[in-house]
Amino acid sequence: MGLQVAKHNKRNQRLHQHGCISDAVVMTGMVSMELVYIPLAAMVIFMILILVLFKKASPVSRTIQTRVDRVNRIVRESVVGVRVIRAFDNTSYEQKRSDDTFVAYADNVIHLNRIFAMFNPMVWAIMGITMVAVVWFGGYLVLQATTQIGSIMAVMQYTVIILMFLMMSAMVIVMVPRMIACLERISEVLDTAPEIADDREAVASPSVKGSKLIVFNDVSFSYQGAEEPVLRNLSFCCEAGKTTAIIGGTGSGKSTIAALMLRLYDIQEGQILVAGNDIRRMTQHDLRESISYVPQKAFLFSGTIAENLRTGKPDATDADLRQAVKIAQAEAFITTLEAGYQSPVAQGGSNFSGGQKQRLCIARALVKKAPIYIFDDSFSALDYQTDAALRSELKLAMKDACLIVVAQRISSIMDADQIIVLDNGSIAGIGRHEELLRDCSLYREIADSQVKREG
Amino acid sequence: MDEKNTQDRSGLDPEMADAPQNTRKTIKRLIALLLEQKVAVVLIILSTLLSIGLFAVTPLIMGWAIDALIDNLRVNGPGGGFSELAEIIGVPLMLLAAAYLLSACFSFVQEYTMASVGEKLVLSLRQKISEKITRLPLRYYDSHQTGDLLSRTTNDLDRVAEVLKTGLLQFINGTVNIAVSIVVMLSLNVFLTVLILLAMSISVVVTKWISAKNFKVALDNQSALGELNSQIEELYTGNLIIKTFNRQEAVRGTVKAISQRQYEANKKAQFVMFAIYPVIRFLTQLGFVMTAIVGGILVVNNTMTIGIVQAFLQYVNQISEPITQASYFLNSFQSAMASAERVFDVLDEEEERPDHSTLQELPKTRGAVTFEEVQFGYIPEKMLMKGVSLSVKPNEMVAIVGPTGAGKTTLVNLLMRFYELNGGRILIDDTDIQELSKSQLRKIVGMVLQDTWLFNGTIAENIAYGKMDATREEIVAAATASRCDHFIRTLPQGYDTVIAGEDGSLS
Repeated sequence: MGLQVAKHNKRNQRLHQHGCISDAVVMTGMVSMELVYIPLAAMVIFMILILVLFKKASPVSRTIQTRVDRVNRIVRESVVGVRVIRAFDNTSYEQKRSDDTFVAYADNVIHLNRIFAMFNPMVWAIMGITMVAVVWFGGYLVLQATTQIGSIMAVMQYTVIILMFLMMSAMVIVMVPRMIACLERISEVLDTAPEIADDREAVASPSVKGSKLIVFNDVSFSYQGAEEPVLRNLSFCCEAGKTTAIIGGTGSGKSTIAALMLRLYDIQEGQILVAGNDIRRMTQHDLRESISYVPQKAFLFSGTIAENLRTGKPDATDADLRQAVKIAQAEAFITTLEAGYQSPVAQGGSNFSGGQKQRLCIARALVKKAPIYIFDDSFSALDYQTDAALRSELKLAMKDACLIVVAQRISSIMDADQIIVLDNGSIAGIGRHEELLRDCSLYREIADSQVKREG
Repeated sequence: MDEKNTQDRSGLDPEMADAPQNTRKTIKRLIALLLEQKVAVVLIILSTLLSIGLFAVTPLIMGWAIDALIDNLRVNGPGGGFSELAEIIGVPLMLLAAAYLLSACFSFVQEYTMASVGEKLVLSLRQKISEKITRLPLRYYDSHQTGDLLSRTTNDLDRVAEVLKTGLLQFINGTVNIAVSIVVMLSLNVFLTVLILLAMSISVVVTKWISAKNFKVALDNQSALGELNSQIEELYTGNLIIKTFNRQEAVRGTVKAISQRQYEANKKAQFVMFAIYPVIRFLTQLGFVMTAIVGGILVVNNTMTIGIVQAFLQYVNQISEPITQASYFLNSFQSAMASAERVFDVLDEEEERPDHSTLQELPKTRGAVTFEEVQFGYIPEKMLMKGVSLSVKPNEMVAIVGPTGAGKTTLVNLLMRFYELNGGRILIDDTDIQELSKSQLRKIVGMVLQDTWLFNGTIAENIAYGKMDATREEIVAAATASRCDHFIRTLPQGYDTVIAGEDGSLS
C-alpha cells in the first residue's frame, strides 16, 4: 500500500513539478535576468538540504518496515496463543515482550519524525531570506531604473511557486527509502526459484503398468541442512485394491513419506515410482492428478461446503458429493445445517469443529476419485465410533483403489493389508497386524501401550 | 473447543467500517489522552501561535517596504545605490528577515514536539490493548476473529497516529493561519476581504462535493484491498491443498481477477484524488485573480497602496492551500476517528473476573480435584453442563472419553479457569479455585493443549517456554523424554530451526 501511494504520488507530482518549476524559472528570467539568480540559489540550497535530510533519514526509515512486521507478529502471537500463554502463566513475560517491541517501534518513528521536524522550518527560512533578497536587490534595480516594481512582485510569486513545488517533491522523495525496502521484499519473493521443476522431457501421459501403484526403491531423504536424514533406505510397494498403513512414533517420518509420494520434496537417494514411472520424470500435474490427498491439518477454503468438496473435481455431480459425504460420515451434520451443501465456510473453516473439518477434507479427497488415496493422519480428530464406521465404508467403496493410511492409533490400521512400522526413519517391520504382533517388538510395544491406555 | 455454536462470530463489514458512531465521544477521549502530555501540548499551541503570528505579519512588512520604495521613487525619482536603498527599506527588510527566521524557529519547536506526541499517545494505546489482550476472557476470543483484533491493534492505531502527526499539525496550522490572515485582511480592507472570502467559498463547496465522492471511492478501494489480503492469506495457508489438488491455474485466475478489481478501484480513487485536485486549485486561484483586479482598481482610485495589494495577494496564497486541504483532512480525520473508536471498543470490553483479594498461600498440592454440581455453557442460553460432579484422588490417572462435542475439553478449560462457572464449584485439595489467583492455579496445573500451537522462534525456545532460563541440556532432556530428540535432529537446523508461528511447518 505504501509502495503504491508513493508510486502514484511520484508519477503525478513529478510531471507536474518539473513543468511548474522550469516554467517559473523561465518566467523569472523573462521578467528580470538579474533577479533570476536569487530563486536559483534558493533552489540549490534547498536541494542540498533535502539531500542531507535524505541521508540522515534513510537508514531510520528503512528499519521502520521491519519494526512494523515485528509489532504485527507479536500481537498476532499474543492473540492466537492466548490459551498457551495463560496455561503456562506467562502473561507478564509476554507483556514485557510486547512492550519492548512497541517501544522500539515508537522510538523509531519518533526519531524519523524528529529528523523531518527540521524540514518545514528550514523551507520557511529559505523562503523568507529569498524574499528579503528579492526585495533588496530588486529595490536596487528599481532605484537604478532598470526594473519596475511590478517585476519584484512577480519574482516573489515565482519564488513561492518554485519552493512550494520543490517542497512537495521532497515529500515524495522522503517515501523513497521505504519504497525501496518494500521493493526489495517483493523481489525477494519473486526471485525465489521453485525448488522442484518439471522434467522437460516428462512422460506425456503416464499409463498404469501392473498393480504396483507406488514403489519405493531404497529411498533416503534429509531436509536441507539437517544433522540426520529423516528417512533411510526405504523399500516397499503399495498395490491397487490394498490398504497400506504407516505407523510409528512422532517424528519417525510418517508424514514425510506422504510428502515424498506427492513430490513436495525431491529425494537424495533411491527412486520413487508411481504407476510405473519415476516421479521425477512425470509432470507434477499428472502425478498429483493420480493421487488424492487428505492432509494432517484439516484445511478448508472460504466459500460453501459444495465448493470445497469440488476442489479436486470442479465438474462433480451432486450425487458424487452425496456419496463421498456419506462415506466420510459427514452426512449427518451437513443435513442439520440450514443451507446444507450450500452452507458457508468461514476463512480457515473456523465455523466447523476439528472433527467436522477433517471429515469434510476426507470427503473432498473422495470426490476427486484418483487411483491412489493418501490419508495423512486424517482420523485423529474423530472419535472411535466415527473412525470405525468411516473405515469400513471406505474399504467397501474403494475396492480397486490403493489406500495409504498414516496413523498413530493401532485401532485405525489393524485391518490393513500391509502395515509399515517406522522407527526413526527406517523400516522396523512390514506385514499384517498379527504377523507384526508376533515378529516386530516395536509394533508390539506400540500396540501394548495403546491398548493399556485405551482400555 | 469442540462443536460449540460459533454462529455469532461477527465479521467486520468494510462498508460500515469507516463511519464513526459517536465522533464527539471519541474526540473527547482522545483529547483526554492528549492532555496526559500537557507540557508538550501547551508548548505546541504556544509555538504555533507565535510562528503563525509572525508569519502572518510578514506580508504587511513587505507591503511597508514596497510602499516605502514607491514613495521614494515618486518623491526623488530613480537613482541611488545600496546606501540609499538601506535608508529607504533597510529597517523593514531587517524586520522581515527577523520575522521569517523567528517564525521558522518556533515552527521547528512545534514540529519537534509534535513528532513524539502522537506516537506516544498511540504507544500508550497499543500497550493498553496488549494488556487488555491478556485480561480478556476466552469467551471474547471465541466470538471474535483474530484478524479483527489484529487490525485494531496495528492498522487502526497507525491510522490514528498518522492523523495525529500530520493531520493535526496541518489542521492547527491551517486554522490559525486562516484566522490570523482573515483578521489582518479585514483590518486592511473589509470590502476586498469579503470579496475574496466569497470567491473562496465556491472552491470550498466544490471541494466538499468532490471529497465526499472521493470518500466513497476510497472506501471501495479499501474493501477491494481487504478482500485481496484475506484471499492471499488463505491461499498461502492452503498452499499444500492447492498443489496436491492441482488448483494452481484456477487460483491464479481468482487472484488475477481480484487484483484487477483492486487495481480498478485504486485507479478510480487516484483519479479523483489527482485529476480533480487541479480543478480545485484553479478555483482557488480565482480569488487570487480577483484580488489583483479589484486591488488594481482600488490602487487607481487611490484608496489602496500597491504594498497593501501585494500583502493581500500573499494572504490569499497563504489561506488558499489550507482551505483546499481542509476537506481532505476531514476525510482522513473521520476514518481515523472510526479507527480510534474500534480501539476504544476493545478497551471497553468486559474483562476476566479479577482475582479475589484474599489470596491464601497454597500448601503443597496433593493433587485432588473435585467438581461439585458444576454448571456451565459457552453461551448462557445453551447450558452444556447441568450439574457435573466428579472427584479425582491424588496420583490417580483419569481419562475423559466421549464423542466430539460432549465437553471433554471444556472440563479442562474450567479447571484452568479459562471460563467462569455458571454454577457449582471446582476444588483442588479442598480449596475452591476461585480463591486462588489465576497465576497460582495455572502454576499447579500443567496442561497439554489440543491445538499444539507453537511460538515463532526456535525449537529450543519453544520447548523452554514454560521455563525461560532452561539450559540446553535441560531442553534436550525434555525433548528426549517426549520422544522428539531424533526428530528434531532431522530438521534443517536441529534445535535452532525456526518455527513460523501457528502454521503447519511441523506436524
